[in-house]
Amino acid sequence: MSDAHADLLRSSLDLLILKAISWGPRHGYGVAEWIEQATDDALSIEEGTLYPALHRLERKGWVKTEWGISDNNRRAKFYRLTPTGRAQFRAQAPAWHRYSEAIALALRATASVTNA
Amino acid sequence: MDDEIAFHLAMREEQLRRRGLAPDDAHAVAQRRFGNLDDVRRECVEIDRGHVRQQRTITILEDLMQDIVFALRGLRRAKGFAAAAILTLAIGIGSAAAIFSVVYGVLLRPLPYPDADRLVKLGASMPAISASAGNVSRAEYVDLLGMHSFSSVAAYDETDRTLGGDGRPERVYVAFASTSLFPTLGFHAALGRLFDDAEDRPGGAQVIVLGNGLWTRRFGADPQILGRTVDIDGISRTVIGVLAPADRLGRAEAFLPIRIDPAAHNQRGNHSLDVVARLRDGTSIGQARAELATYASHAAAEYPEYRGTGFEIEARPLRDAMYGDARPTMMALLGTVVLLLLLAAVNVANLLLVRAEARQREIGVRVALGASRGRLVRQLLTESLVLALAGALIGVPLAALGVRALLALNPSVVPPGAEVSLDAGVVVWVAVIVAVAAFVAGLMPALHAGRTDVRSAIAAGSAGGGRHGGRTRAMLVATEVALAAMMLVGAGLVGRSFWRLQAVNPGFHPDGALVMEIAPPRVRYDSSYKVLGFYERAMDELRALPGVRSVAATSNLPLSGEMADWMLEAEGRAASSPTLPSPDYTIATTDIFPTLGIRLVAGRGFAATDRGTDPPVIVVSREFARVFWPDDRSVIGRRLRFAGAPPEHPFPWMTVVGVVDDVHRASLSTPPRPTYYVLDRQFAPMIGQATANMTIVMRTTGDPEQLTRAARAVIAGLDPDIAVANLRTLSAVVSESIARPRFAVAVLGAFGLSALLLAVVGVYGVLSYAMTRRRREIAMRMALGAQAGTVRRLAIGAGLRLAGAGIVVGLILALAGGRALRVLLFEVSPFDPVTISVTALVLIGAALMASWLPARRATLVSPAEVLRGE
Repeated sequence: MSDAHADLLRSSLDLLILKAISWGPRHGYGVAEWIEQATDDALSIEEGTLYPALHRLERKGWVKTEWGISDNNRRAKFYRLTPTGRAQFRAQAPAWHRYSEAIALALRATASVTNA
Repeated sequence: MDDEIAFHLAMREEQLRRRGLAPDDAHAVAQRRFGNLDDVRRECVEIDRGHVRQQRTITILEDLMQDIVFALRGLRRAKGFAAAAILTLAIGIGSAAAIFSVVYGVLLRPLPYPDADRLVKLGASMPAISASAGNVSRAEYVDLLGMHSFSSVAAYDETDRTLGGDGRPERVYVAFASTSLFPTLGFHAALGRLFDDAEDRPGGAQVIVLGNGLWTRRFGADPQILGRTVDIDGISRTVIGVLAPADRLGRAEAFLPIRIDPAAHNQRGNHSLDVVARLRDGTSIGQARAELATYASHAAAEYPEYRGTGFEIEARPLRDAMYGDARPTMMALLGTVVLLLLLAAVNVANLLLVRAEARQREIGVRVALGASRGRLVRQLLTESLVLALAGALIGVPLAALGVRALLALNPSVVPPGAEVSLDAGVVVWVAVIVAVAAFVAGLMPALHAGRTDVRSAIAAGSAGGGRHGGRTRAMLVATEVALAAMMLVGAGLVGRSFWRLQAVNPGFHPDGALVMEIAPPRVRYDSSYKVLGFYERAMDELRALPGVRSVAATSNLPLSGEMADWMLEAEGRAASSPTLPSPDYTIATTDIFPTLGIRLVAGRGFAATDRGTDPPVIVVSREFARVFWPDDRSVIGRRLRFAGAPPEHPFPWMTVVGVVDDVHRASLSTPPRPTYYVLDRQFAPMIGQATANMTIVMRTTGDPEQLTRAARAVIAGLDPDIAVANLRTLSAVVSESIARPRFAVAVLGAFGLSALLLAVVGVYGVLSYAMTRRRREIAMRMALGAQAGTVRRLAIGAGLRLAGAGIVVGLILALAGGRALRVLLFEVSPFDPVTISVTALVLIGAALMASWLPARRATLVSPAEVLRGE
């Protein structure tokens, strides 16, 4: 995977994660589940890649972690948005939308735009 | 991490099993969907590790900020303590920084030459006649060029010449140098070029390379300077280059080609060159010395000039040769200032201990609330760091100003060419000094506080602290007294030594005379007749000035740093007789002895009847007579002549007509060497050349300073192109010759006094405190009938015991270290009993003084009150 491609994928993943926990703390599996549902299972990513992303977000200070009990009484590490994280998400999500719309627009173009 | 992954896989497996997969399949699919377990685990662990590191740094910085703020707040609340501590540290750190910048500039700063530690200075010595080893003769220099140990060898001769031609004659130091000097020292031309071999040959073009400083100062950094001519001693020289600003050699402001012609006459015996050489890569100084020793022994056997005198060549590391003289003084200053800094730090430690005791409760509470011992210690050390920084902020700028002022008043303290300034290297050392001060001051109180027993601390409140604290404080004060004792002994010894030094009879009368150095430019005064004529006219006119008693001129003024020696042959002595030292010589005019005030011991001095055409006469010093003719009572009538002439044309015999008193020539502390005096008008025909550069001495009836302008005017009137240099009183000359010891005394004395003050304050503080704590005991004694006198004696006894231990330890240490001072001392033993006893008495007196107030206060205790109140 080229660096640019990896970066793009990483930041999209980060946004998805931030969205996933924006309603409340979730554990890593919970985030994976939510992404599956929300994208209608259209996105198939290696689930393992979530964890480095989550840890990186924690290092950046955008998410906080604490160990707790899951719904089925298992011990799990829960991730929660910090105020900084929330602010970052609110700033970056619209930018991503604009970016992807711009790409979609360009890809849908039927005629060449350059002058003959 | 493992738990997180395990949880995820377990959840996924459960979900898949719920969807109908077999357990094994579910497990496999879950693993597949997850991806590479090891990679994920590794990556996350790496990220976490970085995170932890980040957090730790942040915590440390946060703690530090918190500590600093806390310290500042605490200090603001205890202004008295803060002021005392900061002031004490300012004195200690400031003095240390000041002295350090001087010592660094002289002893440690790298010389401004690339690979300076590969540079050596070569000097010849004639051991049998104890002639000095600083210079080399022209023929020897040519020999040295062939040495394998050196990749380059260069010769130079630094001397002062008249720079003029534009009506503003000025005496400047110039260096006649071989072309090889520039590459040896790594000099580069900032403008133009440096001289080449063609110019460095007899008959070559008259060129000059200006130093950057001179170019800026006198020629306004004129970019068009190349090609212009500059007048040195009346000879026009073309400027071919300007050196880079960093290129310096001693005091030389310009460089001229030296033009060594080894074929010329008496080029082996006349030692006047300074030689610097660069060791070849891979050659050690030991190897070079071995090669030089081989050469010297061959030369001593081969050349007649060395017969009877011996010949050796010495190689000294350049830095040593240039600044080595100043080393003992610098080390003494450094040693003393370290003691002072230590003293200041101990004093502050004491203050901090007192303060810590007052904060017992607060510290106890903090420990109870969970502060770890390490944290507490760190907090208190930060406090002392803040104090030290505050002290440095005040002390260092004052020190920098002080150093500049001190050096302006005593320029000869620092060897010429050494650069003393506050730059990066010095600042780093000042930072180290501050850190050390903070550490020493803070360590004991911090550790002490860390050991606090929480319960007793909170219960004890403010007056607690216990015996432990008291004993530590007493020990600290005893240390202070010991340090003060050492410094006072040092100051006392140096002071006594200086006193002896300045009382030495120089051999002439310093008071009531004015001197000035004159150098008629060779190009216009190119014959002996013209030179002698000029001096005669000048002296006649000066003699005519009101207030002038007598005038004379001399080629070497005693104690001015000028010296020259020339071997003599004595009549009737075989060539292979036991060797005699090469005596110092002076060329002078008729009235030299009465003008300088040198006493006549036997025979007569020079007279007007000793004409230039008469057989030459010579006057010798007492030491000369003693060394040359030890068994003879009268040396009048004996004959001597200059050595070094070829045997078929020897110099004419000179007859001894008188013996004069010895004169200190090199310094007041160096014993006078054998000296002889020859009249200038008789010297010129003997040698073929008159001595052009002389110092004129005028003995006045009143204050010599009054005549400076008149004297200058006389010379200007005779020849406006002759510069007058070093116009000063003779007593100033003597005074400048002992400038370095005077500087040492002033500095060591100031430090010693500060130390005494700090020690007195320390004793007072501890004793005060001790008396307060023993209030109950004193009250009981008084209730049982003790008189005020007994109580007073109790207090004073405590004070003396406290100081006494310190005095004894300090004096013992001073005696132990005394040998190190020996080099600095003149006729004073490092174990001088007078100094030691005076120091002991002064300190005992100081301890008594410090004890007086607490003792008096102790007697004012009302026993009833105290006993009732407990």
